[in-house]
Amino acid sequence: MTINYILQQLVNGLALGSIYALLAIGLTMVYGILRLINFAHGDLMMLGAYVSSIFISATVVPILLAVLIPTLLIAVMGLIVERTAYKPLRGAPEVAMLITSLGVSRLIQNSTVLALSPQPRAFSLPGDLTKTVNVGGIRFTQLDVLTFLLVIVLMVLLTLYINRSKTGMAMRASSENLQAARLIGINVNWAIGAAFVLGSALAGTAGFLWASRYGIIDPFMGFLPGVKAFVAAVIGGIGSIRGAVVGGVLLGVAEIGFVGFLPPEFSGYRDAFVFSLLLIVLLVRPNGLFGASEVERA
Amino acid sequence: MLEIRNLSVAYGKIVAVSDLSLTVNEGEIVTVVGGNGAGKTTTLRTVSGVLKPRAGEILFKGQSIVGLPPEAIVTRGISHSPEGRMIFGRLTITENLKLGAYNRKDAAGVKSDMERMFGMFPVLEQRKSQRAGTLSGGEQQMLAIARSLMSRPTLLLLDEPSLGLAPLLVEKIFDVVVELRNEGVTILLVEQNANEALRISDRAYVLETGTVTVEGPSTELINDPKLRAAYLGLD
Amino acid sequence: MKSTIARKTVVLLGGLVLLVVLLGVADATLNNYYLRILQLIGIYIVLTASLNLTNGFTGDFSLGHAAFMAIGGYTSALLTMPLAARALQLAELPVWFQEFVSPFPLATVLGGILAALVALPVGLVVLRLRGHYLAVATLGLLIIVKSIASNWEPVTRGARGLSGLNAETNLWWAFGWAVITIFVVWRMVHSPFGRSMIAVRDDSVAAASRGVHVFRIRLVAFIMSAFFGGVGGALLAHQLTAITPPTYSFDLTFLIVIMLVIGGSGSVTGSVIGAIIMTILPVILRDLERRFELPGVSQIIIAAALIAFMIFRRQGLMGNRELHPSTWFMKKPATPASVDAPQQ
Repeated sequence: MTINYILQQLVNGLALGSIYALLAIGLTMVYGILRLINFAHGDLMMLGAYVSSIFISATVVPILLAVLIPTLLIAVMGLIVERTAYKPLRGAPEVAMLITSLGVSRLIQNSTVLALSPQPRAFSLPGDLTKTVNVGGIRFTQLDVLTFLLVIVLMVLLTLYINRSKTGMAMRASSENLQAARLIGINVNWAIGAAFVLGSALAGTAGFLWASRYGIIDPFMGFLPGVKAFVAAVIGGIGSIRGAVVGGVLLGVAEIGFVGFLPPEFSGYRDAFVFSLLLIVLLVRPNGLFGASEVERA
Repeated sequence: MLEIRNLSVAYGKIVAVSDLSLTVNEGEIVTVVGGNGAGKTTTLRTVSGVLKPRAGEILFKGQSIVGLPPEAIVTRGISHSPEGRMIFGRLTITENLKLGAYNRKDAAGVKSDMERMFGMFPVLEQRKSQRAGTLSGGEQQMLAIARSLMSRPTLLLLDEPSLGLAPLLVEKIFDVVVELRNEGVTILLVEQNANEALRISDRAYVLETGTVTVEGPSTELINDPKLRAAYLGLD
Repeated sequence: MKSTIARKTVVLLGGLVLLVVLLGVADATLNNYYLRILQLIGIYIVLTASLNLTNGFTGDFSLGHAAFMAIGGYTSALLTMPLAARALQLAELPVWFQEFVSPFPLATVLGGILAALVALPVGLVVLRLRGHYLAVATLGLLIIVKSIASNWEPVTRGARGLSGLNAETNLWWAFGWAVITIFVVWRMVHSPFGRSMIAVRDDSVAAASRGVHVFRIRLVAFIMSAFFGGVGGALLAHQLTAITPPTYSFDLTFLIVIMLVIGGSGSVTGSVIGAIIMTILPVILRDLERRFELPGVSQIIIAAALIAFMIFRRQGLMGNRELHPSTWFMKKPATPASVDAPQQ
């Protein structure tokens, strides 16, 4: 095993981890405020991938649009989901919200089946994006570079927004104590809407990145990455954006490492590995790496 | 200014407040006393719009505010400093204050009010960019009051401001309450510390199992030996 | 009071006789297609009523029921597989195993027991969590079990699965187990143990302070639920006569969850009603879907119905109430004390 191989795996792991991080941010923001695991989050990523595929196939359109348009459309989609399915459940037991989000997930998947087809379809990037660049024996594609850049830029923007803007402040306050936020007159529905819009936008971006990486899309592609991203958010500490990013990257690197460094007969246990990690984290450090303890939230 | 008529509130099947009527006139400090579970906090939360009444009417400046969302009620001039303070511990002190002014559009006014709060509570200014969770209990209570003042309320709902504070700080908090009234803020005060609260208030209500059992001028209540023993838990 | 009990017994026995007669008539008259649907109803009653122990009564929302079904399904399939099929499919297993064929009833019970045995250590781990975390952890269990089923070639044959099982599951087994499950769950819920379960669900801190062994109650419920999950998995495998990893998917767990919440996750009779409705409705919808060539529509309708239920009738059709057939014949119908749906 050469150092180059190890670095190569690291690059691959970082690329996958970046996508998990994008998804985990949305999940952690929503969970932080509403205590809702949005099982439909991964399905929004799937929709993003489909929207993106429309623009990718028409090669004239610059690649930026293939990223930007799904990002915007899925942001709107996320808000629609929130307002129609989740808002009527404010104050309901968390299990009711959980079941609803499972229902929404199914609804999105099967609406895609109905509107398009259950069959997978190819998602092929313009040639120069997948062209590999060899830097000291490690192969990068332009897509890898684009992924890293995009993820870094988006995280910086998001962090600035959350930390500096009035809405960001309201989101943080709502996440810490929703009751108090309502009581002092913060429009919590606005804050919740903002969490969905921002999180879903990132899921839309992730849709493009995921589809570009794996080259194939289908209506059911989003569910498992969505749940894994929740695992990432838990590892990082639920409610914390920094935690979501670190958790996502760690999970991506760990997952690729599991496949890349163990004998091939283990690679089928990749998903099992991810969830075993979740169980270990939940038992050993239930608040994750950066999580606020439930005591601090009270 | 505030008129609550025949209010009933329930959590599921548990009735917390039933047929409660209460009035607060402009410029008054009105105290509500009563034991745990008497419905004091529930009443305040219903006025704030966080809870919906099952029956009854709440009028503020002559207009019904039942059914309005909390943010609309804040905009109309009612502000709530909740029991347990409920400051945002992971946000800075400045951020907590800014959130108190969440619904205001006049940036300059907010800024000058912030200065005013810092004048009133100098300790907050010294630590303004620290996380509010690092403040002591008394400082957190000051922050909670300051935060609720940031919306420029005409009616302030104060829920147990002296809870868990050392006697010296209790004095300080009650001084602030009086000072606020002198500045023209009407105050509805819920307190366990009945003696102290009655001393500074104009009128008072005694609540028992969700309804008003005694009402009258504070001086009368405080001097009524029967009341002192039965309701106020004083010797 | 005594006559009430006697009357209840009579009604219960009468109901059982009626069920037997109806099943006999169905068995004799219906074609295979309808018989299979009826069998499925019985199997899903087993699964829903048992999931109710955790998700409904102790309030531990598990998404892992299909994992226990898979364990029961594979175990029983390995035990009953005819020798000829075994020689072809399981050549790598030890010789003694090649020669031992278990009768179906024994295999079903053993499938349930193995599922329960797995549930013990799993429960010790995941039941330290509650709420959403428990849901995701049990979903993780399902994914782990599925990974094992897909990759443990010598035993499960991976993606190819096990096939050539005898079609042992008939109406009698399906409904026999359904009756046993309902009986056991009913007795559990209407015992001091059951009251403890409900106390744990409604307020575990208060329950603990009253001396209820909260963790033990939850663990027992989890293990019992897993046992019947395993039994249901065995029944399903021997209806399909084959078993592959995708059978025990998240879709299956989700379907059972829907049955439970639509019926009312706090009601045993609700589980029965939910299982019946949600077995028949998808069949009808899939039929329409094929006829009008609208793929996905049946799932869309079911998902939308589920969301609507959560918004407008969260407690399901039955809520916490029970249908007491025995009370229908009395002068004054005894309304069971209804408790408000659990607050979070």
